[in-house]
Amino acid sequence: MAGSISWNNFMEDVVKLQQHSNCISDSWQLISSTADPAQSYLCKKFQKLYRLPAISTTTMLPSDEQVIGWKIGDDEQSVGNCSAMTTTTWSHGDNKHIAQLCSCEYHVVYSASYGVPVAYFNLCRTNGCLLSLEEVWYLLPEEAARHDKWTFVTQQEHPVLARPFFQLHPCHTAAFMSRVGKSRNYVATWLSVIGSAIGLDVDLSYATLT
Amino acid sequence: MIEDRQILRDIWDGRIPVCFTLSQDEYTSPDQPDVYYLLVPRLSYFPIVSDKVVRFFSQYVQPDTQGEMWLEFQGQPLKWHYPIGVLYDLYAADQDQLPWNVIVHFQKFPESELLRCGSRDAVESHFIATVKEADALKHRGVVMSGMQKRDHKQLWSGLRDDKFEEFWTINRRLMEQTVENQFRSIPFRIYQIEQPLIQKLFQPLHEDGKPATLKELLEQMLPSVLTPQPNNGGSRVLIQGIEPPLETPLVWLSEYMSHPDNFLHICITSRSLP
Repeated sequence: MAGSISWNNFMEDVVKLQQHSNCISDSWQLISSTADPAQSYLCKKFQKLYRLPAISTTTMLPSDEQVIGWKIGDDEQSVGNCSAMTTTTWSHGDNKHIAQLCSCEYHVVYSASYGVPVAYFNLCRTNGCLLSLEEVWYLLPEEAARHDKWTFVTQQEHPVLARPFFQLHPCHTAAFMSRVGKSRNYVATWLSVIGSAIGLDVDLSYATLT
Repeated sequence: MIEDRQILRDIWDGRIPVCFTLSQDEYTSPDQPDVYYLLVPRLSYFPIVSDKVVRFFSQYVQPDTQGEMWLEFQGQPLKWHYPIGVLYDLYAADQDQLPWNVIVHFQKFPESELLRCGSRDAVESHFIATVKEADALKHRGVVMSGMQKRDHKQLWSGLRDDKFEEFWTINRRLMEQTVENQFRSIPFRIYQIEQPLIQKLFQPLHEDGKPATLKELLEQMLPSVLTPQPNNGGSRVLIQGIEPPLETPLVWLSEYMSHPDNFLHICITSRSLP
């Protein structure tokens, strides 16, 4: 099928990607299962500062929310942007924002149903609590808000770990990858396309794989 | 086949009697709160049917400590994103006690085990995403991507509002097969307690054109199920609460015994000896 990838090619691509990651100390690891090789996946863990509303809430964000991309805590430009948008996005608490250190975990898992890689991720505060779906949406780039959030990123059961993870929905991956030109490494190309949408920086040197 | 349509209706009308009980650490009053009885559709999801349960038990719970409701059975948090009938077949059917005793919690949400469900939008999103995945397996996703958004909405509202005709008006397009357009792969999930869910590619037809059977699926995915175990009565293979003959063609099961999400949910439990 155009735009999709077989399991074997997926494994070739992730092995090469992981090798390159080692060369540039980028922390991608290949997690393998001897019991079931089909349960292998790529994993990357790191810590990052995100600027988040100080008062957490489980209520839905207003539907007219504006989001302006992933907000890095040490970016002075984003401080102003956050201040400008607080009145329109949060209706609870005192609307202060705090730079919060988060433990980030990103996985690349093959989907046999769609024949494509799928991104799963979690962001945890230092106290171990997961960021909520609303907070993750808050951090999404503006382009995602043009789509229905509920068809873009939601919490799902991780297919290997059976634990809650956020998932970037895979149902359009084959379509957009079929419009990308030929690549010697589908996974590296796919990561460079979707990484920024979910707060994952992708080093430019991965382009040498594609 | 016209006579098999009644099977779709019977599957749709499947119900489970549930007794909801508030967890003892949720209230401080010396009086035991009342329990809440509800007959719930097997095909639905707990968040769709539990509004009344939340309202009923809110009177016993401190408002300031009331978080998102979550459900538990014998220490097992219940994943709301599994259909209710699957949860019952997996955790409670072997005990053969009715009503099903489900414990209600409002504190200490086990976020490492359960997905959050802040609204019915979360259920709708999960449901539609699962139907899309099933269609990717059957038709490369062509049917779902060829539908209007209002058709997706009608699938959801048919399930949410328990309207068989409304749902099947749209869903029959997802179940259509012609000689040129067979299901490429059968959407199935196999559940066992304390074991990873099994979901892999499986073709419905052999190379000679003969339909694959439920037995052949199990032989490939889980051969231990078919071998008798000492010390117990062996395994039960439950689909929609019944044990179909193992010779049943899998494509027929997929058409008639699937859940509204278009997946065939198969539960493997132990057979309890009398």
